[in-house]
Amino acid sequence: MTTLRPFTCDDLFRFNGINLDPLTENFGLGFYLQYLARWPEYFMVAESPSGDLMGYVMGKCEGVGENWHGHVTAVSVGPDYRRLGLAKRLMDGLEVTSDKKRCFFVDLFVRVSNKLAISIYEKLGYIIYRTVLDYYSGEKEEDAYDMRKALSRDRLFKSVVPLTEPVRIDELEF
Amino acid sequence: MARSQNDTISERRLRPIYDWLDNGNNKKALQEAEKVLKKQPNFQCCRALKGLALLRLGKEDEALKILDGILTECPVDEGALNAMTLSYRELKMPEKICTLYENATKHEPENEEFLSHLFMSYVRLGNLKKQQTTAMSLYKVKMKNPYYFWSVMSIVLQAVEGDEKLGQAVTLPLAQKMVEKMEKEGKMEQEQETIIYLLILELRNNWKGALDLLNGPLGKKLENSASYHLICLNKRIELEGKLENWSEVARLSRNMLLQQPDSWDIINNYIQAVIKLQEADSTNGGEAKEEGPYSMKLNKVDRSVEEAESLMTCLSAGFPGLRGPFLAKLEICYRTLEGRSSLLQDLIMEYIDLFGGKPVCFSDIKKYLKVIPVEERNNFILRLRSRYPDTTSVPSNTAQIYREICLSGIERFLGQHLNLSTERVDSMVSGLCDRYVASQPLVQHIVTTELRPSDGYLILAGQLLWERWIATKEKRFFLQACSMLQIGLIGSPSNWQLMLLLVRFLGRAGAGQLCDSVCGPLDIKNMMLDTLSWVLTRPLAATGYVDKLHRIYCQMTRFYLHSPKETTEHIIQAYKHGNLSQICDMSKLKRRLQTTYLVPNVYTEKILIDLNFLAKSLDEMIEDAEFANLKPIDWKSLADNRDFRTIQSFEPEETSVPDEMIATNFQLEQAFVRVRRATLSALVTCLKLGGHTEPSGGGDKGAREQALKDLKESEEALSTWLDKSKSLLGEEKVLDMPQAPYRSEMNSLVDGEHLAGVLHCVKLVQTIMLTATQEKPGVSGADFEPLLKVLDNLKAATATTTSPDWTVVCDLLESNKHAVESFSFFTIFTFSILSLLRTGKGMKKGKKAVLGAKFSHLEPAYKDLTANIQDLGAALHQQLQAIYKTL
Repeated sequence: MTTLRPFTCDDLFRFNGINLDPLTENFGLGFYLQYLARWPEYFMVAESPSGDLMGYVMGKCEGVGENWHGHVTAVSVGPDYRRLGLAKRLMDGLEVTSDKKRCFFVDLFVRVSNKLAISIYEKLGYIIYRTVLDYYSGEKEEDAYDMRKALSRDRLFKSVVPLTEPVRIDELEF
Repeated sequence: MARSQNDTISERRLRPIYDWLDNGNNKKALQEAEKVLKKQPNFQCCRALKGLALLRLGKEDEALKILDGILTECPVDEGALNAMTLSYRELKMPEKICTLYENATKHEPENEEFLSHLFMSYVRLGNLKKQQTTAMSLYKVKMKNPYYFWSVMSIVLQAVEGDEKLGQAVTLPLAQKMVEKMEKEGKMEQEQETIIYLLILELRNNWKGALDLLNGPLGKKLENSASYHLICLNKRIELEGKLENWSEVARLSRNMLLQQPDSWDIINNYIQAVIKLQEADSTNGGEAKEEGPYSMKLNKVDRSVEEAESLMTCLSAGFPGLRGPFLAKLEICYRTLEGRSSLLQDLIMEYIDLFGGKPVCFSDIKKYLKVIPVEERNNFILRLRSRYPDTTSVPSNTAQIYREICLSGIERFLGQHLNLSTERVDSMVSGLCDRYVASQPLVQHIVTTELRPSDGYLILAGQLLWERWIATKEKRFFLQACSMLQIGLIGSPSNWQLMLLLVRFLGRAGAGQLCDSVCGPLDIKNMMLDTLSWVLTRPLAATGYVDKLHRIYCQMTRFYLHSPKETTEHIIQAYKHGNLSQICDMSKLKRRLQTTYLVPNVYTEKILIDLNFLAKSLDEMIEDAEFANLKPIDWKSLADNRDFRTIQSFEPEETSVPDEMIATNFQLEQAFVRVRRATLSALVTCLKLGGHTEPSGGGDKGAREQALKDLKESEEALSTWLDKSKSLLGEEKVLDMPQAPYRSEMNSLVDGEHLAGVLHCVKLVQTIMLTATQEKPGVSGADFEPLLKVLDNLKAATATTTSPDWTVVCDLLESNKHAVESFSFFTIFTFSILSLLRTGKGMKKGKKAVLGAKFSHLEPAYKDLTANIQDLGAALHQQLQAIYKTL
């Protein structure tokens, strides 16, 4: 049970309970602001009845032609609020927005080692579309899975035919 | 044709300069530019690029000369304008970018691009009035809606950020009129334009107007959009609520609940409306109630609490597993509590039955637990425990672990952990540890990036041990808690609750370095520097772990320097992308980051560390003083962004952190910043005095007067805030709990007479300065007395040694840190005193300073002063050696 609402700048002062999670990236301020300035409708937060932040989803839409798609940049739920179906609600919201914007699909990147997240995304209908080599740099260098879910506009599910060969990061268009 | 050919040639000549600049080879860029300028000495763009290259080579003065030269020529060449914009931005001179484009638009008033640049340059300065007129000029040149609404938005911001009365009377009506004009002419295009319209009406408290807009064609269009559907639905309910149309609120929110029964804000609106309707009906004699079973049809208006309860029953049956409808029943009962306390307790029990196995349960019911009458709490817990007997059997699944932790949390929250005997705490802690150990087989498989459910046992045990440690001062509780939390972290290395609790224990015992290593994995950076760095910086500061502290302060200074600028750049992006409604929010963020008290705090402490601990010579200190940028601070608008909610708490009201306590602590933090800033300012003034002034009051009169003014200000601030802090400390409610703010550093600062010492120094320096120019009767040895007395007292205070009571070690170390700092301060003040008293110019190494004739009578007092400072230094040295031997 949740209040789902647009993410506001004030939430940046209150989202520690979500961002202290080791797998949730604590981005620089500018990164969040870029999303708030350009795709505010893709940045939603869930608030608990006690007024604490439970989780958020941050994303965007981009691409041309059949590549016009929604992208999940980050989705994270605080530990006390897991297994309540909240990630699903947040992702559903992003998918509905993307669908209304006539996107063909929604995609996201995830560390290949993050089995838990991958299984959640699979349950939500995402498939592993391709592997991106060395997508994550820094301390824990790692490959990423690019996972996708087709939206209603992609009637023939053309966007979710998995690629057999991995791609390098410089080959990524998005 | 000839012109364009020239342009092409020029462009070709500039290309290598751009390339070198892009590659970061500024030297080559400069050489190339000079080569081109030999052929075309007046080539504006090339000169601008030369300026940029010089600037990036660190030759700012030379660069500025060239750039300002071009500025007076009022350039309109695009390349020159771009290079100059970039240069002025890097030079942090945004106002010159405005001049640049003001000039350019004077030349070409119809140039859309220049006007657009001019608008953005005003956004960087925050000049809302000029934004407004420039956007309007843009609209006149090109009738594009975004320009018109840039102007509207600039007006709205004037209302939001300026005087409220003026906003309501002038600016907002103007903004509204402008939007209405567009509406009437059928020119509204973008969704954001309607959103701004709505925002204006709401700012004017015109709820009816806002609702009409939402229900009109523009609102319908907005509602059908991809981005604003949900916002519209919620806004309509909110506005009906403002208008007190409760039946409409009840109808609309009920309709939404039938589809989304888990939306808490909607549930709240619905319950509020139904209660209001029931109250109204009972005074009016009431409406006829419907007979028969509760209908789940759309558009029904529920007018009684019973109906609301029926709706929730139906919803929970229709959507099993959702918490919303169950929690809604609790909320209904809570709001109509009179005489229903036992029902509330039953509902809480039912809720725990259903959702106690989820970690969220405790935070869901906290609010309702609070209203169980004190005299019924024991009975409630007995009933609860009889439902889930605390047997010796081990939990068999994670849900049971969560439930057990929830039940223990409830016990703590309802005051069952207050005033326990040591024996009872020992047995409870060992019980919790046993459960922790017994539940390990259930959580072994959990990956290290996840938090283990069983960690909650340790958190509760840690909180019990904290209270016992503080109460009994027995270090075994401390040791037990630290080992227990450390073991917890081996199995669950990502659990920040364990880390934060451990940091509080270690910090309290004065283990600054360990705090740092425990906090390492938290990776406090970016926004967290503002909200959560307090957890670490205080123990580091108290224990004198200055290297690390200095690094964090540098990181924070950079963050506070860049964040407002970064925010402005994204405000510009929001204008460009037409997301105007984000601008108010971002402007608020910018203000909040600029006004956080940590900005002056961190900067002051950083410079004090530079002076006291990092400077290796007197020359370096004087240099630090020259570079210190002590801008005036708007003390009245300081904000506190610290986060006290993230550290988990099961605390009952008696030991939970009340808002007033945070407020008092914040006042003390501000007082601390004020006195430290005043101290720093006095030190900077004295270092500059000592470094530059001519002896016996000679030298630059202006500089001397400024120094006297600064010292007077420091003196006033110190004495005012010393007094105020004393009374604030009297009121300070210290709650010795791990989730509370640390006890203010003002305590040790005031206790140890450090401030009194600084105050005497500042007075003495002024008296000597005034004597030197004969504005005051001569300074005498008696003027040194109060300072000598403080020095004696401080020396005597160092006699206190370490304590076997580890709860006070941190305070002891903090007092020592202040003593070392004070020693350093007194040395700096004495340096400036000597520079004023001596005869010869300059301080030559190895040459004995001789006091001027006017001051020769002060020789004994001055000697006493230096002797006392040396004694204090020796005593401190001895004391610190003794401490480190015992640690």
